[in-house]
Amino acid sequence: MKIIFKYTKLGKLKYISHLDTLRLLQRALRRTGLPAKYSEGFNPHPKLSIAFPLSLGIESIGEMAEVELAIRVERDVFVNKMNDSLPEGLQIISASEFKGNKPLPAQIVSQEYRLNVCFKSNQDLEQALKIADAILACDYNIIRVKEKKNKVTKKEINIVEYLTLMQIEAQSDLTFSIDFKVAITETGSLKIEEIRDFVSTYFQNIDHLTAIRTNLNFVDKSV
Amino acid sequence: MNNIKLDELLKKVEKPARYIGGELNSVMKDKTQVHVRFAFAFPDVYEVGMSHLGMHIIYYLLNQDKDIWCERVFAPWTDMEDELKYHDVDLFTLESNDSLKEFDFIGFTLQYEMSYTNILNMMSLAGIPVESKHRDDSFPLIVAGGPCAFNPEPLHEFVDIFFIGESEDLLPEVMEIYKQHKNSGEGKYSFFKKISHIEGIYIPSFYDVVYKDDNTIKERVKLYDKAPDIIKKRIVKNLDQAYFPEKIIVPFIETVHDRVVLELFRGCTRGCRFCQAGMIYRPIRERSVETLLKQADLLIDSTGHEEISLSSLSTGDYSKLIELAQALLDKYEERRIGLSLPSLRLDSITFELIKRVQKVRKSGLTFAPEAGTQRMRDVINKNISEEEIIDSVKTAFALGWSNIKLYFMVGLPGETIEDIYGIKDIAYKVKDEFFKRDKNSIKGNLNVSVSVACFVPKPFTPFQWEKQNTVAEFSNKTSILKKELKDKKISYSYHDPKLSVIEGAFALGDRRMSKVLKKAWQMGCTFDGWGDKFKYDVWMKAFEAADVSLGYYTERNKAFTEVLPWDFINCGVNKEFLIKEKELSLSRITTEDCRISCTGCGVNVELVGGPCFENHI
Repeated sequence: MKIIFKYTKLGKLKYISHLDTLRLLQRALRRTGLPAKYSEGFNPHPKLSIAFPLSLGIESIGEMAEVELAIRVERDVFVNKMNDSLPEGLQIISASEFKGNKPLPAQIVSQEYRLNVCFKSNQDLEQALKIADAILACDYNIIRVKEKKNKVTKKEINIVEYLTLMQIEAQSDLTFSIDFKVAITETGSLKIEEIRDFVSTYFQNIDHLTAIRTNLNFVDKSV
Repeated sequence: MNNIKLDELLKKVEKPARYIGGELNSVMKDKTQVHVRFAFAFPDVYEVGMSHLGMHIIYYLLNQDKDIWCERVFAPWTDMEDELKYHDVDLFTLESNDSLKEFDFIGFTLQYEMSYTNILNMMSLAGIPVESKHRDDSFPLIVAGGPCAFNPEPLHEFVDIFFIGESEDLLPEVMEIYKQHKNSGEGKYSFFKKISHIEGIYIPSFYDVVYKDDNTIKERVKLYDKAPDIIKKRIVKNLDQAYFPEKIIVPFIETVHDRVVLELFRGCTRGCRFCQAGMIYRPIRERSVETLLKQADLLIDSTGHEEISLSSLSTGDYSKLIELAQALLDKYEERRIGLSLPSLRLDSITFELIKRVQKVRKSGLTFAPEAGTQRMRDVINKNISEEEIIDSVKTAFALGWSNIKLYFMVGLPGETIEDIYGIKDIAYKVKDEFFKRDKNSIKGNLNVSVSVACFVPKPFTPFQWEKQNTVAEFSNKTSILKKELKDKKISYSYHDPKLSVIEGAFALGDRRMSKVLKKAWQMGCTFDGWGDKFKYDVWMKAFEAADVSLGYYTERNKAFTEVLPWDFINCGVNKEFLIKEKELSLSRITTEDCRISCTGCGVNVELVGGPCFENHI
């Protein structure tokens, strides 16, 4: 059976890379004793995949992964056994059986981030909303530079094309939270660093800024 | 250090997960509730240190005592070193994140001479004076053990206490005495006196060394009259009952060896004349199949690892290898847990075994002929013939392997140019075997990888009196091979001769090498084992600044009568045996495996107190 589950990546676990997180999940599964289905080939691996990579150093309360088990198991049994086996910062929040065939990464259409912006002095929420609306109304092009094996490729992208503002809230006199939805298209998505730079350019007076991924959204909203 | 500060540092470095701790099976304790704090220090990066079985053993051995908290610290990579300095933060352990300064003990493991600069650097990064004499009682005690401790003298200025041999019994004994001592309020020298008589303990500050005009050692002088003249290595008498952890830490990030390791036995009976491990780990002691299966079970369940590897010197010599491997496969095959086997003599039984292993996971095959000609192999007592190598390779190809690794050494005693060309010949013969077969049965893409190391004479081997090749001699040989091994199917790699001669100077060095070490570290040498970080020119300047000659240690044949810097250590193998072996090597006479008949190395008399194999195999 295929299970899609949602999990957290909090605290120091934010420093575990994508591939290491994958191995961590595989080993946790192995320790539960629940038999996984395995890939074919030279080095068989349990069929477990992560929906969408998360940048190193960023926390999340909305990661997704998919696993294929060789047996049927109650959802709660799976979640409890896995959570006993997983470290504190990485815990499964919800899970459900998936009967379709489409691989999980192909089902994800957008990601959501919350930026917590801490200002040096008091900020007006109304003013911040105005700024946010204004900046999302105009194009904001950046050049993304990729370096691979001494080959440098440059690509121009328009940040605002990907971004939808969901909400701005005052968390305290000095701190606002800004929730963004970021589209994942065939041409890719935005990196959290790019969003941070974008926000930092328009808001003056920022003391520091932290980001956390809050969700990954499906085509099919069943999970 | 608090979490916010740590976060600031971690955000700046390339692989932050090296420093976060919190892995599965790591041990957290309340520091106010423990009596002794011990920092196990590995003088290399996390990925290397975490692959070392000894660290896991000692970590759990100490932590099973509720009064002791053993934590871990690794050499911070240069990016983290810069951050520590910039933020003025002391080097810290992964568990409590406390500065190394706050510990009772910092225990360094000495696996490789070229990690020595990192030892000084780690102390210094925590604000601890590197020299023992500059550390008052407010600083931690610096202790060290591991294979390189068999010649401890190059580190004598920096380390307070050396542990010679195996620590499973020794370390808890010393900790018990320390617990008493800590309440007494007496200074560190009083503690040294309380432990200096224990078998396996060496306190370098209790001795002085007097040299002759020709720089060789005249004598050792005791500065504390009750200090022992000879330091005898400590062993675990019964390995089957020795301490072994039920859990090992599961790293978050990929390490060099990321799997369950079963230690089948200690010691080796082959008697290769270049091999230090083969001498200093004697006598041979095996674990029973029953014990090993139990250990495998506990470790697999507590880690979730996907591979078990069997580790020992010459693992293929384990007396019940087939029985063990079959039992492990029976148990784990279905759970897709792979088994990595040592090189085996291939026959019908091992053939079936290997076929089963291959079903789970395929791996490369390694052979270590060590030398290119039969003559040279006879000199070094590597008892494997070319026919045996080729036969094994043939069988391996028939079984579907196409990846073969071959290990050799250059610069061996009495080597000639034919021996160098012999390496080339073996590589091409292996290649020819692959294509000699029926075209239809050739599958896969052949890769013969030839790896060449520069020979370093080591203490307690029959070659301890030998001079080493110079950089120029080594380079000549490695470049001949580079020219000769130009082939699409053969890849060739070799050790840096410059690194090997520095390694030689530390392996064969005396107390004066500690000056060179300190200079080199002060001039910026760290991570010398990491190719691009190694600065040969700086090392040469360090020798000059310390007024010590590299050639004195590495370019001089020594007489049997010369007092060697490590002569005061008794590793069980006696000098008469080493001399006899050295003389046999000159006449190309091999010595057979001592399982067949005792070769009289002395370990039975010195350490076992009876025949070596009774109850141990």
